[in-house]
Order: sequence, then C-alpha cells, then structure tokens
Amino acid sequence: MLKYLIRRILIALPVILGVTIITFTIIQMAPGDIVDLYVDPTLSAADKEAIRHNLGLDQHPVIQYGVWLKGVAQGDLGNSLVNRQPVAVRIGERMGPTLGLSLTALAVAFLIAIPVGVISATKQYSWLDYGSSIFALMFVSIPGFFLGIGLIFFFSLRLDWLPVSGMRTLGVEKSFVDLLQHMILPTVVLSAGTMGAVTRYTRSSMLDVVRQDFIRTARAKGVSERLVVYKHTLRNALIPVITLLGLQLPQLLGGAIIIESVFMWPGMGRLAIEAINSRDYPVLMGLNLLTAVLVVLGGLLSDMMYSVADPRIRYS
Amino acid sequence: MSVAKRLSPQAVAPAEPRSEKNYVLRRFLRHKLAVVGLVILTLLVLVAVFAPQIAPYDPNKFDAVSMVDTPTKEHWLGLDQVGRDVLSRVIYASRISLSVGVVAVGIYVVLGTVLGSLAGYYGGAVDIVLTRIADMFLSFPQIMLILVIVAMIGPSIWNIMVVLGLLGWPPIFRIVRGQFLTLRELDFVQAGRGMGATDSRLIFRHILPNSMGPILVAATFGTAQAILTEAALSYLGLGVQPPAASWGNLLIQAQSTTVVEKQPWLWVPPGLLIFISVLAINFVGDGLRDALDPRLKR
Repeated sequence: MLKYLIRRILIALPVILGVTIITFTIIQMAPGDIVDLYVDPTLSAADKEAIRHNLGLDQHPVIQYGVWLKGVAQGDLGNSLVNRQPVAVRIGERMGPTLGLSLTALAVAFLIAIPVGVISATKQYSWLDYGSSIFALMFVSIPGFFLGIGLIFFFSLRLDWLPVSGMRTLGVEKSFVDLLQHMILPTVVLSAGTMGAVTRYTRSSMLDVVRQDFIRTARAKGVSERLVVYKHTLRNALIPVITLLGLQLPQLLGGAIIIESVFMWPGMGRLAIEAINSRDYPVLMGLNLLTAVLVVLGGLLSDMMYSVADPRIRYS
Repeated sequence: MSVAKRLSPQAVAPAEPRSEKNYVLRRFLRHKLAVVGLVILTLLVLVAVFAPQIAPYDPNKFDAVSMVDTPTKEHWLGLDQVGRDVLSRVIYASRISLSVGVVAVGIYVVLGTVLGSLAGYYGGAVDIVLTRIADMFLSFPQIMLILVIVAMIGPSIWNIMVVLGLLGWPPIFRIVRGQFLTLRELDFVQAGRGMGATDSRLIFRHILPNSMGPILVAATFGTAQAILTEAALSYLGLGVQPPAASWGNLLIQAQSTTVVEKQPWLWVPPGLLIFISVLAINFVGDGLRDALDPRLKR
C-alpha cells in the first residue's frame, strides 16, 4: 500500500508541474502587467522600470518561473504583488471558508443522494423513480448562480429568513448559529449538481448489481428481500459510488468559484477572481498549485476507500 | 409503399439495411422525456434562427421616450438601465448562448476524435503521451483554467468558443481511444485488413462509424455543460461582452440586490431559459444513451 501511494504521488508530480507551467505561460502571454494597472500613471517610464525591477518582473519568464519553483520547493509561495503579503497567508485565510463549504456540500449531497438513488432503483419505473430521476436531472441542469439568486430572492429578500450574503453578520459576536445561517443557501446551491449526479449514478449502479448472478443465487436460497437489497446489492453497488467522492471534489471546487461570487463568500474562488483582475500572478499560481494538489489528494483518497470497501482490490 | 406499413414494427424485415436505425429511432421515441426535450429544443432553435422576425424591437436600440422600468404593454419585460427592450435582448441572446455551446463542442469532438483515433489505432509513444495529457486536463477543475485563460486573452464570444473547444476534448478522446482498442482487434476489422484496406479506410469506414453512438451521447451532454459554463463566465463578466447579449450576461444585472428584489422580470426569464435549454438537451442525451446502448436491449 505504501509503495503504491509513493508511486501514485510520483506520477502526480509531473501533472501538477504541468498545470503550473500552463498557468504561468498564459499569464505571461497576457498584455500588460500589474504595474500598468495599479501604479500612478503620472510616474515616469524609468520609475515604472524600477518598480518592475523590484518585483522581479523585468526578468526573462523562464527565470521568473525558476525563481517561483525554487521558492515552492523550499515551502515559499512568494508574495502577493498587490500588498506584498505572503501568498501562503492570503490563501491560508481563504482556504477554510472554501473547504468548509465544499466539504459540507459534499457530505450533504452524498447523504441525500445515496438513499434516494437506492429507493429509486428498488422501485424502478414507479412514480417515485420517475420523480427522483427528473429532479436529479433538474439539479444537474440548473445554473448554480441562477439557483443562488432565486434562493436569495425567496428566502432572504421576500421571507427574510436567511442572510443575503457573506459568512458572518458584521458587528455581531462570532457564533456558530450565525455561521450556520449564512451557510445554508450556498451549501444547497453547491450540493445541487453533485446530488443530481450521485443520485443517478447510485440508481444505475444498483440496477447493474441486481442483474448479477450472486443476487439471483441469494434470492434462490431464500434470503429475504430486505437483506438482498440492503446487504447484498447495496454493499456492492456503493463501491463505484465511493470513487465519485474523490471525483466530485474538482467539480465542487470549480463550482465554489462561481457560487462564492453570488454569496460574497470570502473564499478561494473570490480570491482567484480578485487575483485575475489585478494580474497578481503569484497568488494565481499558488491557487492553481493548491487546487491541483487537493484534486490529486481527493483522487488518492477515493482509491484508498475503494480498496477498503472492496477487498478484491489490492494495491501493490 | 404505404406509410402505415413502414411504421408498423412487423413490417420492418430484420434483413433490411435500415432496421438498426429504425430500431434506435423507435427506442428514442419511446423515451417520453427525450421527445419532450427535443420539441423544446427545436422551439428554442427556431426562436434563435428567426430572432429578427420575432423580437419586437432592435436589441441594441435605446428607447429614450418611454423610460419605464416595469413591464408594459409595449415592453413585456420592461427596459434595462440604459433603456433597451429586455424581451428583444433575451430573444437575441438565445442565438449566442446556443451557438457557443454547439461550436465549442463541435471543436472538441473533432479534436477528441482525431487524437483518440491516433492514440487508439497506433498505440505506442503517441498513445502514452496523449493519454497523460488527457489525464492532466481531466484531473483539474477546468473552470479555474478557463477563467485564467479567458481573462488573460480577453473575454469575447470567439475566445470563449475556442477556449472551451480546446480544453474539452479529453472525455471524447477517452471514448474514441477505448472504442479503437476494442474494435481494432475484432474480426471484421482484421478481415478488412486482410483484404488490403489502408489505415485510413479502416479508421474511417470500419472503426469510426461503430463509435458514433457514444460520441454522439457525450457531445449532447457536453453541449449542455458548455452552455452552463458560458453562462457562468458571462455572469462573472468574463464571457460574452455587452452590447452583445447572452443569457448569462443578462443576469449580470442580478448582481445588484435591488434588481433581484424589485425587478425579477429582468433576471428570471434569461435564467429560466438557460435552465430549460440545458434540461432539454440533457433529456435528449438521456434518450439517446438509452436508445443507443446495446446492453439495454430488451
């Protein structure tokens, strides 16, 4: 197992490296840099050059990338070009909100989707099955930001039950209940797509397993229907569903980028948009690196859970 | 030959060359939601095509006379902040929103099919390199990369289409490659080879036609996804740029809480249209998958 893990990480390294090279190349290709955008336009060209020199922007792109990579190898992500804060600090303060939101949405989505998918499959072609299938497809099809705006309209503006945006009420002492109230709408929006996908996947996985010979054997030897469904079928049907846990992580992180803008959630997604608008490339590079690492870790985790759930799979 | 005879299932002889197509069509038509989706989609495409005839006003013309901000008899969805007719803009937006999806997917289906054929048919180093690159693209939240690229090269309709097209090929690549790996060893391909068929004939006449089903299904779901991505990018201001209207950028107005609360007619219709068109396409995709999947034959 350990050997397998090490090999997987070694394979992932070039992928992560590739992602950072692509990001860096694109940023370099863009016309204009942060000095053009932010610095007082009355400054002389010589002064601008001096600022570029200080920031290291006058060096050849390959050298800039080399400097960045060397820093990363030593655990230093560089400094933000906007306020000279270390990138690690800027991302660090945004990581909690995004991961909190994404993982909660992931949990909510799976906890609801799996039972619904199972019921849908056991009552195939009933109105329950059709209903849940249609709802699942609707959840996959609705644009997250539109659902978000709709929920804000009803629950925050019309009914005034929940806060419109943000993570905390300003001027109110930090409390868990306050945080929870702010989290409800973004979590619902973020989990909708995943919920739809997992429901459909669970249903078809259950139906795949039910057709197999060992289920027929179980029925033939008189095992009760309850046991057939919940022990023999469900346990085997869940194995491929578990792999979705890791695969949905990139989806959720991607979704968070857009949802955070709708709800003014102070997370990595909004930091990314701020960094894009200000050409703050060290922050962008750091964000891309971190997402790539998180996604690789998600994949690894789902592989490991796979081997726990299915003893036939042994990694060596 | 009477129409009734052709429609009745018994009339279709198994040996008739079109029977497989008829069979797929029958299975598709039995999928009620897919048929509903197809009807809705056809209507939306018609609206997009005939937008100049349907729209009551020029979508970019300012109405300086009747500065109203609520729906009226003349302007069903009211006017936006600068006095343009919102209904006309929503109608014209369907052109851009639908075509971004179709063009982007068109680009990546071609790309994915070509690369997948190369990797699957020839194998070796080409296969290893291409598969690695595809895995890299698949293991990353694409929206992040898309956001960066679009922001850096400048947001526009064409750039969105090209970026989505160039980044979207890996799923198609995987399908085509997998199909080639299976099919190239089968007897009918080996027979073709034995009879002296060239590589390109084997690829284009024997193997690719057999992979069309899964490609078509993936392309359908891909179009729905591309429409959603364009909408999200445009909503963030990084997609289709005004004065051109897309359903996504019409929702930019809903970034103001006042508009959300007081003028729902400005943001509900474009949002609903994105939802309905994506749902319709997904229904069609579902129907196609069920109709084309040989495992589900009963």
